[in-house]
Amino acid sequence: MNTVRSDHRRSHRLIREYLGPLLGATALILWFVAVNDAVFSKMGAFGLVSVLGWPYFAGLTLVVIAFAFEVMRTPLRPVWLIVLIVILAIFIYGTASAVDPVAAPTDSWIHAGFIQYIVQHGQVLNGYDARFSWPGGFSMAAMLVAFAGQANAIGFLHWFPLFIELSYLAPLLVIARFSGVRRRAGWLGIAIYYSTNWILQDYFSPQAENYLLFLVAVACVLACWQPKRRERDGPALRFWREQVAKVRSVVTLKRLKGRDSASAWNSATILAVLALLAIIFLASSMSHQLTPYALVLALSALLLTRRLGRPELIVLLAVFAFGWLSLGASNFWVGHLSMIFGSAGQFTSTLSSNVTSRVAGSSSHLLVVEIRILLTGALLLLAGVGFLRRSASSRALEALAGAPFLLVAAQSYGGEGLLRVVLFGLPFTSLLAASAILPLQSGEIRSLLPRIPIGRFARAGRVVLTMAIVGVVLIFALATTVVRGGNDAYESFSSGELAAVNYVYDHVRPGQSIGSANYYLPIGQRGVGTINAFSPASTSHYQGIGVRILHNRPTYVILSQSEDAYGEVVAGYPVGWEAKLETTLVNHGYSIVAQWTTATVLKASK
Amino acid sequence: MTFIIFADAAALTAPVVFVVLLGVVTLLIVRALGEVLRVPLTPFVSRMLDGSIVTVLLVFIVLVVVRFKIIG
Repeated sequence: MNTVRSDHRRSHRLIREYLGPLLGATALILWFVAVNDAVFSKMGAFGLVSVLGWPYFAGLTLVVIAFAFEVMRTPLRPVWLIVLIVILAIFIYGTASAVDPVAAPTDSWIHAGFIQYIVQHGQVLNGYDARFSWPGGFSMAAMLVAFAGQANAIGFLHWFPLFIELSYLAPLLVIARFSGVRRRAGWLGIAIYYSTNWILQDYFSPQAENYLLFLVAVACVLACWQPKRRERDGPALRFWREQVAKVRSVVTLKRLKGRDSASAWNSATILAVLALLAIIFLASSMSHQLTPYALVLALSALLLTRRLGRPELIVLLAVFAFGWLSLGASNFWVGHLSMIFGSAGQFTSTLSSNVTSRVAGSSSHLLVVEIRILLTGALLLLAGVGFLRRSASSRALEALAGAPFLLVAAQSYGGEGLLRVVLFGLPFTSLLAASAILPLQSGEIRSLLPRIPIGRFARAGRVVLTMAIVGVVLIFALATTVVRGGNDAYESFSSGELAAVNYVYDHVRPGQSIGSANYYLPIGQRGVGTINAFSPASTSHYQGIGVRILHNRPTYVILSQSEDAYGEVVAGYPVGWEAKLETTLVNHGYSIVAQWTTATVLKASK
Repeated sequence: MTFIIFADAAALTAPVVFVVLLGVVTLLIVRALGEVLRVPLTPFVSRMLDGSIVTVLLVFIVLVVVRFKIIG
């Protein structure tokens, strides 16, 4: 009898020790099988998910089960949790890089072109592109290119999304540790972040690099300052009166001076942190248009919720950001100031340009867009439950999740403002969502919902929680797999398309121009300032594109598979529209000079 | 005597904005250093420091707006 019990204990111990790592390793093997079996050329209208077989989904399920098992284990094993989160990130952010033969999207190639210009000329090209008015990120990348002995930045593009997402892990761990959620909820929040980041701002770009700076700055502040315990004086107030008193305390001079928070660190360490933050602020102000303002809002939220002790930081960042806008970026705004301030306060048009205009295209594209909206809505709903269920010492997370919404009130950001709002709030929304499942039970601020009594069902409750974690993370991860790769039918490129672009760059002369049916080509990496790239604005009929190309008459025109897919999936053009466009161009003085299975190059006759 | 000649008001605003920016940053650094190192300041000096930060900040905001108006 004792032997049976001892065997049972031993097997139970072995499962506890090795189940998580074993499942994680199996998941990683399945990922290699999945990306090896995926055939890029068979990609359909649903994008990446259309070429992924069962090993991908089996592997994703296994890594989520392994993570849920590890996060509910006592004691927690941080090393294995980090390993499992890294594997989860490889699934979500590494698959496209492994399957696509060429880096995507178009903007990453354009950024490589900007960097190439700085490498060659040692300065930016004024008046060429708005992004050149915030050149910090490009300059840093140019320095990295020279330092690494590379000829250009193209080698950095392909695996950049996975690299930068993994570099977010360090500040995310600090944010989770010091944000005032349960330790397990912190780990779960990080997994939810990696399972829900569909925003696609992690390609090779200044915004991806600035998002890292944003996370590092918030992590530093959360780690450095803790809220002081509120001192109660006078008799206890009724519930609503107490709430009003709390709201009034948010805008007292004492709070605004940072006196409601305290740091356990010594003066030298705090000064080092302040110096680091000042450098981060300066770098961010010079390298991205939006991130410094998002960070000003985040720091203000932290000050008002007693998590920032030095209000000077907010003023410093605001002064740097507006100073650079006024002095360094004047090339951008001189003559069209309305681009910056024109959309201030216009909620309806901002919402329209951010959401309504994006819900268009073929049925497959509409489904992808609708899943994106549902995914974001589900996450916000879960975060709302987390807000109601959790006790806390401060409402910093809620304020950090809500603060970015003020950005949309000021700027539509070319129809992308709402995406950025979701992105800047995502780490905090994810931690709140994790608190819906694993809420903190103690704290100065009591939870708004009563605690669920578990009593003698604690063991069963643990199983239910583990299953809930598996369900939530797996559903989010599957949805993100679908929607992140949902644009890949036209945003990812074949080797033939890159060969066509390189062919044109090898033959085009300074002053000549390169045309395409739309924006979706791996183009822009060479000839910045000497060769013009022309793609007509989207029209309701594809014939309009031919008219505009013939009107502008670029020397070379590249027609490709990705351009064709964009026309069919998003613009609603009929199947075979690009072949008809090619015929039109050939009938009007263009001739085919080179051809690949996925791309054709046409040249205008003299 | 050496004179600095500015082409127009737009060209003049840039160095002025920059100098005021440096002024705000310097005052902010002084305030942060004083607080972190717990330098004992009299309430009067503290108020003067805060007041000068607010004043220079307001000047900075006005100059930025003026620059937007002049050349924007």
